[in-house]
Amino acid sequence: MRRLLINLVILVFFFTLPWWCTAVACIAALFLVPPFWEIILWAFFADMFYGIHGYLYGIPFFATIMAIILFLLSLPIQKRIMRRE
Amino acid sequence: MNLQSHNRGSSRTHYSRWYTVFIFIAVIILFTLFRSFWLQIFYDVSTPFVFVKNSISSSFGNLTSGFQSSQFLAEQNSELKQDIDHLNTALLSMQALETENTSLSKMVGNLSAGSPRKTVIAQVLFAPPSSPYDTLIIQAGVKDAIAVGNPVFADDGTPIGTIAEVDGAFSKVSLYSSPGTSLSVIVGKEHLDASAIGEGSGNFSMKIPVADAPSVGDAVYMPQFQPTALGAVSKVSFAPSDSFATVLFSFPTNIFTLSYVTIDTSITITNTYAASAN
Repeated sequence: MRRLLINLVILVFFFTLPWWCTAVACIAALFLVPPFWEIILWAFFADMFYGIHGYLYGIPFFATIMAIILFLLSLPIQKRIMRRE
Repeated sequence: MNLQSHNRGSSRTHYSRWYTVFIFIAVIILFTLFRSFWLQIFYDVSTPFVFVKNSISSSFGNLTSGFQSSQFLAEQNSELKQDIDHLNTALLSMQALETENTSLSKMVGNLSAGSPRKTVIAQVLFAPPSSPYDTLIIQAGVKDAIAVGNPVFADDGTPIGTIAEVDGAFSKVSLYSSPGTSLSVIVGKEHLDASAIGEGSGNFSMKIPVADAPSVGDAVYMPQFQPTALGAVSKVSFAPSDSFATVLFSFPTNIFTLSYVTIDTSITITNTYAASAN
């Protein structure tokens, strides 16, 4: 339920607020509802929806790559949070 | 007993993890294969959000305007009057240029000079900072005869970008200021040819030999859209030992507040090189 609510909030942010608000919400969700793998999907949607053929600075799927890196970097912290819960 | 339930639990976690990975890959493959279809759904889903966002921002603007002090309004009024004077002067020189241009075009027998421009006005659904890519998503597409490469203008006539992707009822505009985009421009009264690089959010930079460096306030044009300026030089910086000066300029129009744009469907621009859209 909490996960769904957070995803709904991100959906609203995605369409209404500056991109960095959505990014902050996604990063917060990484630690609120671990493992928040949806961050990769949201980044993929941003690449497809806002990017020109998914490119930025000549890098395809820039946001998706950044999200995967963030997700992997946050995994040890996410695991610790899950163990505590 | 405990070991059995533990094993059952861990295998369930194992399966759910694979299930998540499977759904994840399936979504990405489906999205990539039927991109146009999914984007259409995305645009349709986004429309009510845009409507609500625009309504809220306009009503909020009306609400706060009542609280502005009279002194502030008086100052703003005098500034606007000064702006009108400047614009009137600029308009006169533009009219003179237009007359000269028309007569010169007739002299060289340029048939296209008299042909009417086919323009389409479109609502901007998403603009920076909503979009992280210096792109605009506009409510006009194939059904409005829009094609990839058509130039896009702001409401004051400033050329701001080109159509990069077209769908049925929506299009994506790549702004000239998109990071990494290279653009041929003419700078200043000397009509110096230069290459401007997009820096994002409506800003550009270019390297010009120090000897030819323009002054602050000099206009920057795109050869196709003269005499409409792309921007005015805002900063020129170089060290005494440098052979090239760094020149910065930006769009005269604020891309964050764009509501409508005009698309010229009779021209296709080919002289921009977007490193991001090869």
